[in-house]
Amino acid sequence: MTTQEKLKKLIVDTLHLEDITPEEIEDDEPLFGEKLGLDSIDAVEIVFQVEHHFGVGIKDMKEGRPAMQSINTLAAFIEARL
Amino acid sequence: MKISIKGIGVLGGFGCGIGDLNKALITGKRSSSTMVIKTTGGDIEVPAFLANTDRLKSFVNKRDLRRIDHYIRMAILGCFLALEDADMLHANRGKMGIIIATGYGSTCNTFDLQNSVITEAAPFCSPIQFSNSVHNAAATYISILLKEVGPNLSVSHYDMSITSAFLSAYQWLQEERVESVLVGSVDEYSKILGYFWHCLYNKGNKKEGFVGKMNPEHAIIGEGANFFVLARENETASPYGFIEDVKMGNFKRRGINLPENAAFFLGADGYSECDEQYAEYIPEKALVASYSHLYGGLPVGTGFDIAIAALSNKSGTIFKSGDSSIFNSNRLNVIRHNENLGSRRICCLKLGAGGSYGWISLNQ
Repeated sequence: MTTQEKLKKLIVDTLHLEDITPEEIEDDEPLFGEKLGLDSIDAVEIVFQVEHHFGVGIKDMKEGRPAMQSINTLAAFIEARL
Repeated sequence: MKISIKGIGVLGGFGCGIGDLNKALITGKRSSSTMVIKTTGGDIEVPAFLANTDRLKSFVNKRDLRRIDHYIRMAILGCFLALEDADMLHANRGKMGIIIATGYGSTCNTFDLQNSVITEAAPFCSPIQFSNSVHNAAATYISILLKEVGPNLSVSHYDMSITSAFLSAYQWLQEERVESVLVGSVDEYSKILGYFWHCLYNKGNKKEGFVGKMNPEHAIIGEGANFFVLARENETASPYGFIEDVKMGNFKRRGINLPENAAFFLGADGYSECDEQYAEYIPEKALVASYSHLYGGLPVGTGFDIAIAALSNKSGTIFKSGDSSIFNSNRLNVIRHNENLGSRRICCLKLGAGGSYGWISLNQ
């Protein structure tokens, strides 16, 4: 399973997105855009889950904002620190 | 001042909605589940009356519920059912206060959170799980979903929680701080409670010197929610009758002053060592009943008794009691068949931990 696939499953499972499957999330679509509709509380949960499952910390907004643009940017951020 | 009950929303082992509770009172039908808990000593089985929240999807869209756990879902559904019953779901509700009582709080979520902190090598704590574990989370979600900006209060006072909440609601309405109050309570089943039941009440697992005070035949864990829309009587009348008085105190220190010409709905649920003490305080010949056989044992069970009292006011009938052996007394005049309410008021009385008591009287 690729990092992107792991992230999609993680987001769907831990954010309880019952109306969407991991496969329906596109690699480049904005995480906080209209389709997924995530919000700031989800962002905090993603930070926690990424640290919990990948051991990679997102320290602050400066790191977090560019890293959490999409599945691809988040995967690249994680892989660069593994 | 009289406080009328405009709407009621209930869910528990008897079903979902005031209609299901009414049916259960007539038929005695309720649904007990057997919960399996995995322990290091093997699987154990625990009976429980559980609540189903499927109907919540007809009030709130799926996406808005995604962060909300079972405990909070029960509370939200209770609120929506009460507002629907009061025909206030889509109406301009004016200034409404919200008060939510709970004896245990969000136990499943809180214990899971604690477990994750204790068992993980590095302590992690999910922000969503943490935010749902705080006692006022349910009240917050309700305010958000109803878009209510009036006063919002969460009350936790173990088995006096619902009486305490009604006392605050009564005060808010008396002070004309709000036009109506959505007040109620919620408690949930958890594995910890199930394990507790197994250790202390299971017939094959008696601990000397403790179980003797309890009543394992009746002590079935219950969960659910009960909510009420209250308003000042001069603003609106209701077929459910009105709240006449709310009192709290300590019966061991000062005894209890109970209302006259009342039938008593007693909060005996098999858990409390107080169950057998009701007989000491109830006036001779007064009719009494216990309905915990329909909703189980939970700190906020009195809320269901209030709903049943409201149904009695509406129908003019006092429904037959559950098994009278719960009181372990021949002195009480237990209602064995449905009876005409007549001109009686109904007093919902709970004797609780540490000698505390609370009662709420309703009249037609």
